[in-house]
Amino acid sequence: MRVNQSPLRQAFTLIEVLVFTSLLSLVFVTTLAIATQALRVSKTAERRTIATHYAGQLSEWLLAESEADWDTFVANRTNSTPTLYCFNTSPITTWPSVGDCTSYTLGQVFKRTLSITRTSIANGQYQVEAFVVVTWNEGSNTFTVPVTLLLTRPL
Amino acid sequence: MNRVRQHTTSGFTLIEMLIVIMIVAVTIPLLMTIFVSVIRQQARVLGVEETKSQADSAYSNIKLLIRNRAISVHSAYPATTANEICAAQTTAVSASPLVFKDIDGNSFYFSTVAGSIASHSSKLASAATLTSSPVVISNLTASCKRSGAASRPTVDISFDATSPLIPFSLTYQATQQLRNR
Repeated sequence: MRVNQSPLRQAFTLIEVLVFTSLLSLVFVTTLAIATQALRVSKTAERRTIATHYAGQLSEWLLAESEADWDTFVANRTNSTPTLYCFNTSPITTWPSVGDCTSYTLGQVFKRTLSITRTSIANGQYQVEAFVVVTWNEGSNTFTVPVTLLLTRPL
Repeated sequence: MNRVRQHTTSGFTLIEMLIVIMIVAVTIPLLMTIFVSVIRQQARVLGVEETKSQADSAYSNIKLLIRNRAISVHSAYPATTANEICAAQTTAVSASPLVFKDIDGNSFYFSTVAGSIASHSSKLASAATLTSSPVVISNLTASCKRSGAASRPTVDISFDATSPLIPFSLTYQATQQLRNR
């Protein structure tokens, strides 16, 4: 008895289909996870660049304020206990009221805080320590760009 | 006896094809959307970094030139004794352009030309651009003030830097005293 079998008879088995589907799903899920992570990292990098700009902007402004009138600049500072200011506006035009930031309104995403104090040094002079922090949130994570300035009487 | 087994040569059923097409129709747009978002975001990051890099460089150049080269401030080009401003104690005086005389007697000023910051000087044949495309500079303003007769003039310069790739602008503000006065 002869049985003619065509070579195209063989179909995929259930196991083969399952293995293929699993591998395909794995590839899709991994690709999605990588793409999502890349998106998140990229967003953080963008915000860090902008936050660095905002921190630099306040640092430059403080430097200019100290150079414009050092005596007034120092007289308005307090010893030991740092004073907090919220600089949530850009461009910076004047000193805000004393107090910490309550919202993230700088560029709709950031808050910019200045902590400033003065320390007595030799010959009745002072040095002023300023700590600028730009903060923003991404999901449950909080990111910061800190800048520390040490200012003394300009030459 | 010669038996020929009859095999069905039919392919996938309609239901199978519909399911596959549905899965592909959902998956491919989803993946494409995410990849396009990643590419857009990457372009945006590059735009922000390029804008900041160029604007930082221009900002530093402007500050350095004013601090190290300028000896007086003027309201018109070229700088002459007649158009000098902030020579005595004064509150902020704006001029467009705000012109400076340098230690060699040359006049220089900054302006925006086709979206770039240009540095003009009487000793240069043509303006030197401090920024380039795709970065766009706007709202360049300049003023000077002098807090006392004995103090040096202080110059305030501000500008906005942006790029077509980003939907916002970075504001730069420089305050610089003339050191060579």
